[in-house]
Amino acid sequence: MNKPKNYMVESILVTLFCCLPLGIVGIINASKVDAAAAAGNDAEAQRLSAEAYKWVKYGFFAGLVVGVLYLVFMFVLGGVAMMGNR
Amino acid sequence: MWYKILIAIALVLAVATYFQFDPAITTNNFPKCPLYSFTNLYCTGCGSQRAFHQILHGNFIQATHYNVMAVIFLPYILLKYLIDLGNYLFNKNINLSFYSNRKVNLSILVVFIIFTVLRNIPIYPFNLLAPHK
Repeated sequence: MNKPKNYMVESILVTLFCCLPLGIVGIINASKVDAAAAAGNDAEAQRLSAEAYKWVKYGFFAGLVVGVLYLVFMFVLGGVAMMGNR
Repeated sequence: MWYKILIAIALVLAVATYFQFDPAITTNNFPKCPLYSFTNLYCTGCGSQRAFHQILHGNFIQATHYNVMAVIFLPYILLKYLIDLGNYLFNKNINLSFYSNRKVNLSILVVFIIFTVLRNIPIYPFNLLAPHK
């Protein structure tokens, strides 16, 4: 039985660079994966791994959506400002 | 496969953007953290955009002023992806044990939480952990 991926590095990346605390939840789950695997609880390790992945995904897409919305907002504002200056 | 190429292009563009423009300059209009905008709290990643710009320019000291953790964990993250890339290219299966060591991972969690609490205390020396010039 292979040890499930713990998503620790991905969780840290999301926590540090997506500016959203969702990554912390990922780290909490990621840090439990290997403990469960070491205890021989494979089902629990699989579940925690999936859970960690879920939060990494949420954090990543939340960051992406905020970033894209921000860009759109800025372009709209810029366009309005330009039209006002005609 | 096609989405991997898209991700690679997006990554290169993102790095180039962070190299060229300094998020610390407000007229550059980088996205602000929504949590900070609403609560004025510094979360774990606060200052990491500004820190990343400084890291790309080799100013590691200024980067630690913005976000110490981004600087400390950069080698940790890069090493992992380098190993993964090496494993993929040379069809190996090398794993460093501290990436899946539960004591190491729990310590990281505890350090992150303590760091996040401390950087929100507006008293010296804790305010050195908050993003500053």
